[in-house]
Amino acid sequence: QEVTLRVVSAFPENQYYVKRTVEWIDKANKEGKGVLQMNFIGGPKAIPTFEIGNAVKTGVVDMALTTGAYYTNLMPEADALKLAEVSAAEQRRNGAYDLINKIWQEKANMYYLARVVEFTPFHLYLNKKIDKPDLTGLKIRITPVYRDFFQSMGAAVMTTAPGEVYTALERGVIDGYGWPIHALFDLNWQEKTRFRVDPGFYNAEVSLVVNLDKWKSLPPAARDFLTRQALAYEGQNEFWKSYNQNEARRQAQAGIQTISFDAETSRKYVQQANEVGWASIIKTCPQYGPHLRRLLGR
Amino acid sequence: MSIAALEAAYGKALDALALVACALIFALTLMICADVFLRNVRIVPGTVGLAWSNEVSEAMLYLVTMLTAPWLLRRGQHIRVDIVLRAVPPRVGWAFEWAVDALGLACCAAIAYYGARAALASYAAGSISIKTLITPEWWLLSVLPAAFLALSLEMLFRMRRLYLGERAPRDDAVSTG
Amino acid sequence: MSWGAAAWLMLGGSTVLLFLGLPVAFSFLVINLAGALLFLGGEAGLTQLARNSVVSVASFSLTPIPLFILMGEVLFHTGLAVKVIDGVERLVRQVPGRLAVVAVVAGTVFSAISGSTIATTAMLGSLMLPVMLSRGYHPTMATGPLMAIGAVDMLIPPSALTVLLGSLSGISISKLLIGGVMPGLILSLAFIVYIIVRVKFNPALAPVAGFTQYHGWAKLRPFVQYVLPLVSIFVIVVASMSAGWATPTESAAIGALFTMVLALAYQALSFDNLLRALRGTAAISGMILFIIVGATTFSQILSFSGASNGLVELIAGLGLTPLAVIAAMMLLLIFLGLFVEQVSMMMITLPIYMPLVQKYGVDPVWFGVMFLICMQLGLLLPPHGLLLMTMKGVAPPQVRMGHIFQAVLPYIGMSLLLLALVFFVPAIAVWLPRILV
Ligand code: NA
Ligand code: NA
Repeated sequence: QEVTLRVVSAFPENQYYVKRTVEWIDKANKEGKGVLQMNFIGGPKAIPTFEIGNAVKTGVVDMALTTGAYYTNLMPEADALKLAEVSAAEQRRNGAYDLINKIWQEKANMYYLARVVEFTPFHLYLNKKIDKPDLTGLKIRITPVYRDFFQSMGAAVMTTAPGEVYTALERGVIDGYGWPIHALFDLNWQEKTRFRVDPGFYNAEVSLVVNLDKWKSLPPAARDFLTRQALAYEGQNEFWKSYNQNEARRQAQAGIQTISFDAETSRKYVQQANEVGWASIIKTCPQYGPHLRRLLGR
Repeated sequence: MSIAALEAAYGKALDALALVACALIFALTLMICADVFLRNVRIVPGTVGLAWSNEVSEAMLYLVTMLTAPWLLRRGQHIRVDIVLRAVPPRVGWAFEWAVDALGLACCAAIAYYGARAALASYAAGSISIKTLITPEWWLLSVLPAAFLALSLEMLFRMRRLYLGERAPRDDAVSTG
Repeated sequence: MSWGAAAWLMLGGSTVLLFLGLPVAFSFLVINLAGALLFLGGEAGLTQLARNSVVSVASFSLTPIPLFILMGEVLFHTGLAVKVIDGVERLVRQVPGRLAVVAVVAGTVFSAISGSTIATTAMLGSLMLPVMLSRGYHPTMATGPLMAIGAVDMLIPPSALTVLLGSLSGISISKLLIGGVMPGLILSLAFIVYIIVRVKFNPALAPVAGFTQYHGWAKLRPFVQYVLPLVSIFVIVVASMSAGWATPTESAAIGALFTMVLALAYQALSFDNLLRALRGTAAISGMILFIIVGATTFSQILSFSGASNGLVELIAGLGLTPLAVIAAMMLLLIFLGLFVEQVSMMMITLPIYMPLVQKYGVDPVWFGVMFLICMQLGLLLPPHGLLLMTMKGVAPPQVRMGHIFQAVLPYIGMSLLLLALVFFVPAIAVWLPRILV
C-alpha cells in the first residue's frame, strides 16, 4: 500500500536548498507511485524554524529538511555536524553515520536519513580590512553557528534579525557577519559587503530527518525506496563543489575582495575554529562529544 | 471568604502581574539602550555591548504578553466585534455572551492543559535553549500554561459577573490603535 | 480533508466566532485548537500548538510595538502634548476654521513623535474638542478633523502598526515607515485645504473667534521651547539609524528613552505619570501582542492545512492582471475594515496576500503603503472605527453619534482618493524609501 509522508523545510521556500529538495521530491514521487509519496507542506510559515526539530520528534510532521543548529534544544550534539571534516560518504563507511543515527534516535526520536548539503565552508565577511585573525573592535552579526569562534577572536557579537542585516551593514551598525560561501545573493548582502576572509571554516550541513516511529512503521518496500532515493540525493553532493566555486566567482564580480592570510596563519585560523567548536560541543554533551569528534574530525 | 471578596482579591493579583509587565517594558527600554551604548562607546573595558540583550528582549516581550492577558480580560480590553451583539435584542445578546464565555473558558483550559504537557515534556527530556545564554527550555514554556490557567479562572469570574449583571451584552473594548 | 474544507473551517469558523462577540484573540485561539487537532495531528499537534504560541511573540522584531506606544503615552501623560498644541497655535494666523487647522497641524507634529494612534486621538480629542465646541464650532467641523488626523498618525513614523505590518509580511520595516511619510503629509495638507474651503463657503460651521495675536519672541517661544525639542526625538531616532549606532528596531528604544529624558528635563515626569504611561503601554501592547499569539499560529495552521496554497493558486489561476488582483485585495481590505480592527485585518489577509504579491512580482513597499492606507481608513469607517468610538468617548453629550458619522465622511473620501492616487502613482509611496533607505 502507498504511504504518504508529510515533509516540511526549516528554510523559506525560495531558498535554493528547498527548491532542489522539492525537485528531488517531485522526481521521487513519480518513481514511487504505489509505494511512497512525499507531500511537501512548506517552510517556516507552516512550522516555525526552531520548532521543526520538536515537530519531527513528536510526529507532527514525518520528515524535515533542516540543519543541526535549529534543533540544539533537543540535542546539543546536532550542532556537531557542521564540524565534520570527512564527507558524508566517508561517514557512512567509518561508522560516523551509525553513531549519528544512534544518538539521533535515542535523543530526538529521529531517523537521520541523509545529508544533502556539504563541501560548503562558512566564511567571515567584513566591511573593514583586517590583516590577521583578530576581530577586536569589530561588531559582528552572528547566529549560534559562529558565536564561539568569532568571540574567541575578540569580536563584539550581536544578533540581528535577517531582515535587518542589509540596513545594519549599510549604516555600519555591524562590520561583518558569518555566512556560507553561497546564498549571499538570495539576500542581496553582496551589495553592502566589501571583503570575504579566506579560508572558510566548518562545513555547512543540511539534512533530511524522519520521525523514528514513522520510519519504523514504513512497509519494507517504502523504506527501501526512500533509502535508495535519499542515497542518490546525497550522492550528488559533489555538485556543491562546483556550485560554490561559481558563487565565489560571482562574489568577485560583485566587487567582494578576498582577505587571505599566510599559510601558517590560515591553518591556525581553521584549527582555532575547530577547537572552539568542538570544545563547546564536548562541554554540552560529554557523553557523545569526544566519540563524534574522533569519527567526524580528521 | 465570600466569592465577591475572592474575585476582588484576584483582581488585585492581576493588577500586580500587570505592574510587573510595566516594569519589564521599562527595563526593556533601558536594556536595549544600554546595549547600543556599550557597543558604540567603549566605556567599560572588555565589555562590548550586551550580547544577550536580544534574546532577553524576546523573552520579555513574551512575558509582557502573558502577564497582561488575564488583567486585560478583567478590564474587558481584549477587543472584539460587537456589531451582532448590538443588533439583536439584549436578551439574545446576553445569551451570546454565555456561549462565547463558555467557548473562551474551554479554550483557555485546553491551552493551559496542552501548554503544561509541552512544558513537562520539555522538562522531562532535559531540553535546553542554547543561545548566548543557556537556559532550560521549560522556564519560558511553563509561563504559557500558568497564564492560561489565570485566564480560565478569570473567565469563571467573568461569567459570574455576567450572571449577576444586566441581561444584556457587555461593554467591552471594540478596537485597537 | 481537502484544502477547501480547511479554508472554510479556519476562515469561516473564526469569522463566525468573531461576530458572535468572542474577543478577537480568543476567536483565533479556539479555531487554532480545532485546526491543530485536525491538521497537526491530535495530541502531539495540540502540544506543538502550545510551543508555537510561545515562539510567536518571542520575536525581537516586535519590540518596537511597546516602545513606540510608550513614546506616545509618555507625551500624553506628562502633559507635554498640550505644549505642542500651544506652540503650534501661536504660529497659525487667522484663516477660516483656524482651530481645526491648528488641530490638523498639531496632530501632524504629534504623529511624528507618537507611535500610537490611541494616544494621539485621546490627546487631541480631550484637549481641542472642548475649546472648539465652546467657540461655536459645529460638532461635525469640530470632530471631523480630529478623527482624521488621528488616523494619519498611523502613516507617519513612528508607528506601532507599521512595525507589525512589516514584521508579519516580511516587507522591510524601515522602508514601510519612510514610505508612509509622503501619503501622511499629503493627507494632512488635503485636510487643511478642505477645512479652509469648506468654512469659507459655510462660515457658520466655524465662527470666527478672536484670539490673542502674539508677535516676535512671544509668538515663537512655545514653538522653540517645546515643539522643536520634541520633534528632535524624531531626529534622534532617524540619526541613530543613519549614523550606524543602532538597528531600526533598536532605535525605537532610543526614541522611548529620549522621550522620557526630555520629559524629565522639562520637569514634567513624575513617578505617577510614568507609571500611568507604562500602564497604558502595557494595556495596548498586551492587547496587540495577545492577538499576535493567536493569529500567528492561525496563519501557520492555515498554511499547514494546505488552505493558503490552495487559495493562492485558485486566485492566481483566474488569469487576472496583477493590478486587478491588487485592486481586489484593497477592496476586500476596506470591506474588512468595516467590521474588524487593524491587527485582525493584517492577520486574516497577509497569509494569502503576501504569496500573491510575490507571485505577481509587485513592489512590496508600494503594496505595504496601500495596505497602511486601508488600515487607517479602517480607523475611520463607521460603524466600528476606533477613532469614532474614541471621539464619542471624549465628546460632550451634545455631540451625537450621527454627528460623528457625518463628520468623518469627507475625510474618508479624501483617504480613498489618496489610495487611488498611490495606486496609479506608486512613486508617492516608493520614492522616499528608495532615496532614503
Ligand atoms: Na506616528
Ligand atoms: Na501610530
